[in-house]
Amino acid sequence: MNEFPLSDPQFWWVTLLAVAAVVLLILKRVRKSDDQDQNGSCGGCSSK
Amino acid sequence: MARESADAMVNITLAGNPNVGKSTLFNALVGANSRISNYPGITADSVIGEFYGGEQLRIVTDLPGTYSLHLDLPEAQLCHQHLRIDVPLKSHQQNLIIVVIEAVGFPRNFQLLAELMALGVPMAAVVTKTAEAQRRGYQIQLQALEESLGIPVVEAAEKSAMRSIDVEALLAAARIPTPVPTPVPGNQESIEQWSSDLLAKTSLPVRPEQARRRRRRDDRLDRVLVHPIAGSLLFLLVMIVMFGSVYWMAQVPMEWIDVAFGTVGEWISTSMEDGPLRGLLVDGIIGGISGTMIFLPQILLLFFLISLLEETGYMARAAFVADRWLRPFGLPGQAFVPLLSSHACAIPGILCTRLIPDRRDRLATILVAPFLSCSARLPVYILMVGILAPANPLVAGCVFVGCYLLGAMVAVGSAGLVRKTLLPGPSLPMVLELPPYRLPSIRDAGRIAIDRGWIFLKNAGSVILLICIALWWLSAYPSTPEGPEIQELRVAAEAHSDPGESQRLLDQAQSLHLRESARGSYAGQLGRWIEPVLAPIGADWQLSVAVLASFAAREVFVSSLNVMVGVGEEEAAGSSIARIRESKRDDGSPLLPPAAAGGLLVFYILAMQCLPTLVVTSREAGGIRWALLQLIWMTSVAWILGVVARQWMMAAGFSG
Repeated sequence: MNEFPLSDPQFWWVTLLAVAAVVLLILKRVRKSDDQDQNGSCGGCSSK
Repeated sequence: MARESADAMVNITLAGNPNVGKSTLFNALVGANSRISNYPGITADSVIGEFYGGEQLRIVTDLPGTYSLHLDLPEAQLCHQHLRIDVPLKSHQQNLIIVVIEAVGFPRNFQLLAELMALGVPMAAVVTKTAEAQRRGYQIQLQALEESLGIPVVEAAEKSAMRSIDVEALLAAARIPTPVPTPVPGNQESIEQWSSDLLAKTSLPVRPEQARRRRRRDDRLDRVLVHPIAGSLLFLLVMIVMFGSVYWMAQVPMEWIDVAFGTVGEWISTSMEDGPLRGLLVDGIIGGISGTMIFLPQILLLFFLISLLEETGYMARAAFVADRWLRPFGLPGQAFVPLLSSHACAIPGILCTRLIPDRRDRLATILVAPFLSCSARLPVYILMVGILAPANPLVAGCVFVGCYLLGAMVAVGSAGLVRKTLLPGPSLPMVLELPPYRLPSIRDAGRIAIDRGWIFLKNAGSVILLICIALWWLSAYPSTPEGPEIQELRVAAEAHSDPGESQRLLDQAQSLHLRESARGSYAGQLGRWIEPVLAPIGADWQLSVAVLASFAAREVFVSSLNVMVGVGEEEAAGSSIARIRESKRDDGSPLLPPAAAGGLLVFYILAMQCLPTLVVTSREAGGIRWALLQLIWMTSVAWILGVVARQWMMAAGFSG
């Protein structure tokens, strides 16, 4: 049986950080897709 | 508000032939870093920037290079649209044109110059490459040119001189030029007369013997560099030497970065109590970021060397050599620049295809451009090449070149298939002006390498960091309680009288627990679910998670793998590459045996793992169906050739 350490405050901190990371990631990717300009790159690549 | 009023705003248009230095002037004016190079066609669209001169806002438009506004080419139509329609629409504002004239090939500038002068807009001129023109045997008389055109003219003898141009004085002196014969397409006689008069008045021969010697030297070099066989072999040799030296030279700084991250990780491990926060910091954040940062020296070196090569003028010769190879596959010569740009990133490469006039040629180039190895694939190449050819820079260089060649070969093969099936029809011949040979500027190449490195770092600090945090959580939870086998090991350890043996049993129990926890986590469940699909190319569940995490952005593969093996390992085993190399699968076999590394490497060379590129393909090709075709075709080819590569390596005796 699998478990989550719900009584450990550190668990809630790392979970909060992970959720924030996912939200930021989605926002970042959506914005990038929206405003690719002709001098842009995909973000992973290093072209200007 | 006062700053944005019409009186306080000037629209400046930079116009000129291709590869005359417009983008360099644009960068000097607005302090930007638009991409510049020593081959034509780099600016595919107009680029807009702005700067303030006192209270006055100056909006600068850098147009793509063209020889005339009346050519049936996309760049000419774009310039025509801007100068004949957009600029008159802004007649209530101040408009002026800075025409960039190249002293090398001076008369070639006259057609466009006459067309711009006929617009009746205040103008100024910058004459570039005058030092190179003198070396070629003629000198431009700036005073005579200024009088003949009726506009202020300044000189930029070398590229570096652009930044010292007194822009304020030039803008203040700009005026409507002396009337010239109206350039009408089809009635060229008056223009030709005007051009020959202008040339006679403004160009004087200097040091003819020296110029002849120089021309002879350039011709001799060209005969070798663009030779069908010698040129191709030389291109291959240059690439092998370049990648080999990148691999060899980067070893020492890579070790420094590794040691630095290892030290920070150890310090946190010893100064924090065991718990989720320490796990996130050490395995998630430090493990993930170091997995990307370690490749920074190689990326800096690679871009430095490529910039040096571009500046010498060699890459334009390479374009001619490549044209011979592209043509049989139905790709036009104009596809070379977009395909070359795709080696940095497919997105500017796809946008560069706007310069290809034929729609079928353009679509074929867009579809295959992402096959070319972009810089985001470099960390994966470096990791896999390190496994396939450890401690042998020459072999590593050859494997590296092989990665780039495989991408290029599958790209042209796919283009040939597309042009024969979906988009049949002939290709147009390539016309490309060979730029002069130049001594490269180490400073410029260094600046470009630092720019690219900085973007890489910013990316490591944002997207990769976020993915590492999320992936760490998915790899750590839900945690699995210790099973009976682990509990038995712990009981046996407590009962053992030998402290060494007791510790060994405890370590074994801990290692087993971590591995079971990783398997039972969300990432582990997901990895095991997709493992059957990726097993034929050599991926176990850990590698499957890393492949899946990198599907929207391939650059996160190495970092994701680092997080996965970090969570599943008891201690970080030295360098991030060494840690991946020494990691084990569930059955105790190496995580990345050579054949699996080969299969995954081929998969990464060819797979479409970049969401933004798909978005741009959809937009530029005019429909989502082209992006879907690209995704399905690239991923299928990658998977099939990945399986073939692994099977072939296993048949050759490599473990897989």
